[in-house]
Amino acid sequence: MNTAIRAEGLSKAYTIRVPQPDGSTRRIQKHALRDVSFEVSEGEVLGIVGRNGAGKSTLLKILSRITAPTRGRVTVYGSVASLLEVGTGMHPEMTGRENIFLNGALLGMSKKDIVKQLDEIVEFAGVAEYIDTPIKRYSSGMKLRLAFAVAAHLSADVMIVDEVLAVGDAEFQAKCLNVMRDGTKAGRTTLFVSHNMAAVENLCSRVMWIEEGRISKIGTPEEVFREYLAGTASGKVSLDTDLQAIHTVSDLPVQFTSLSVSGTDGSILLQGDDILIDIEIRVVQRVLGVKFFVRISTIENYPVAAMSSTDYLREWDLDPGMYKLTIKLSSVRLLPRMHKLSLYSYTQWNSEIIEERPDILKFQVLESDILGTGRPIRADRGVTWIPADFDLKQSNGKSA
Amino acid sequence: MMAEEAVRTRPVQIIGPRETLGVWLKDLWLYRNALLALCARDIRGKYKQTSLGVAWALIQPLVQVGLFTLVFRGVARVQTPVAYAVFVLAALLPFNLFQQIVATGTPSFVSAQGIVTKVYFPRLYTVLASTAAPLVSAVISLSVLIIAMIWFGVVPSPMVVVGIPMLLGALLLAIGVASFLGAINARFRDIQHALPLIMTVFMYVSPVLYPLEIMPPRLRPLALLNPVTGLVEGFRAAITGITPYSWNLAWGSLGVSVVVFIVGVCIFERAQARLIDVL
Repeated sequence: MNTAIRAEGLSKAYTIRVPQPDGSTRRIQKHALRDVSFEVSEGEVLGIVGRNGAGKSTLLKILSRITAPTRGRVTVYGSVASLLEVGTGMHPEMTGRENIFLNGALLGMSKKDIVKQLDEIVEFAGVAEYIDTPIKRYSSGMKLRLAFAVAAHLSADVMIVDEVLAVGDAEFQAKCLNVMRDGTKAGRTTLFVSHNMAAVENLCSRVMWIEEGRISKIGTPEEVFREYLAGTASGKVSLDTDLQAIHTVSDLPVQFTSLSVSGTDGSILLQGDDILIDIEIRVVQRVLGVKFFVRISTIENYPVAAMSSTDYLREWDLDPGMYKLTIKLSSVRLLPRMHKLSLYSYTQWNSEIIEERPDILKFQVLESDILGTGRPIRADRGVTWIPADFDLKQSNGKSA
Repeated sequence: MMAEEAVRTRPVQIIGPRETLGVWLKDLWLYRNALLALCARDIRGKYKQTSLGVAWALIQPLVQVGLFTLVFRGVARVQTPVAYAVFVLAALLPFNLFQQIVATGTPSFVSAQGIVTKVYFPRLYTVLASTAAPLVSAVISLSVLIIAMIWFGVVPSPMVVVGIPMLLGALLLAIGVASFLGAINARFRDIQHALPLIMTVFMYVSPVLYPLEIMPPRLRPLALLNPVTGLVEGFRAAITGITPYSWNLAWGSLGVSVVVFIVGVCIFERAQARLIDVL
């Protein structure tokens, strides 16, 4: 495999002036990147993730030659087009057509290229009627479509794309992703920075996670996201809870001593993952007809679902000793948000609760590309989601 | 083996802390489309949503000449070897070119921050692009000057071609000054505010509106230090055939302009790499 980009020991230091209490200023050096080295092969699609201020933008700016590294160097084989923004340089007083030429030229397209693709660009943007109108008369959506249409027709051996997809409505974002996918399918080397995990997972063959100016991990999207998301999920949520410590002195016949919740693989839960609940149970005296009950609710206390062993006609007669109960939840349709888990154990027609652990554990379900569209289903949809098949036909039976 | 060969045919770009002079020169050519686009943006953007459009470039010198003729000829009774209108137009052309480029070129790097922090092209283009609109104005002024010369029956001198290097000198000087001031302006925006003031003063202390000869001899050395003096005098002499204050001064000013151009561009180039991070 040929190398497309080779970065060797890239560092970038900024000098910041910090005002001191005595009125003077002190200069401090802040490293946005420290000794970053990596290689990207031809045709590879590398996603770059990291928190704000981790150094992603600095890296992109160095690769796009906007800012020079303090140390180290990058060798890029092939022509480069970089897309840190859509619509760079567009002038409100100029017409759509004029702006296509202006923006195209600034992005590195030749005039011949633009002339050749002009009709396509105009059609893609869907602004044919208004192409000779100053873009200040455009709606913001039209401006965005025009800008993206130009960007979508860029062609180079290496493409560098930043967060461009963060703007625009859902339909527009989907369109952008499709264009990106076409480019990557055509074997174009692409570097793609985004906060949209689903999009990165969908598009990229490899992901680089940058943390505090260094490469924290580089690998397949799955590998990196498991670790990355575990670290950045809102709040530090431990999915393992040892109940021993918080267990009050109890003479209950059945005691939950430890609990863990996990996804099908690893310690974090992505949307759509099966959920495994492992509970350790100590039984101190013989109990007959023990049933278990688990409830999931949103962090706002809205019940989402409750599962009882009685539903499955399961109950157990337990002798004293240690037990391990595994509850596997499949076809889980939780939305990406924080949830709470409650556990109960009871006997004899619900009358006698023998162990209760309301809201014992919080867990986060993380966004994923569950529908394969590059877009997650967001938490604002409700408490859960239901798979749907949308099909529109004309009344005469033909597919629309 | 085949793959290795393919690598070699692709352009190879090395991005490091410093770029070489060779890369810089190559880029100036490679990214020319961006320069042309920026020029078009400047010219088009300038006269958009005006009903008179580029005619404004015609109105400006006409009003200037009318006003100056009234004040300097009508009121101050300044004596000139040719018709005052021709005398002042021939000086205003290089001076306005210089003044307009410095005025728009100085803040150009800062005002292009939305662009230069998002795409790469040689940053000097921001300054170079601001020469486009003033050059268009200069061409229009030239036609006004020619008409005025015909009207007043002024015959161009045989040295008329010398006007070209003089104009070129004004262009280079302006780019040099705008680059230098532009680099300072990125840190201290004071420049932007002081500039219109300085330019007005500059016009009155340069022999644009009056012949250098009427300047008090004690002040004359000051005027001679100003490279615009030589260029304006030289251009005017070349076009209208009047005797210049000194041809040596004109050629000397041209030399100074070339030096200012090189120094200004070097300072700009050294500064921009750091400035881009603080814009």
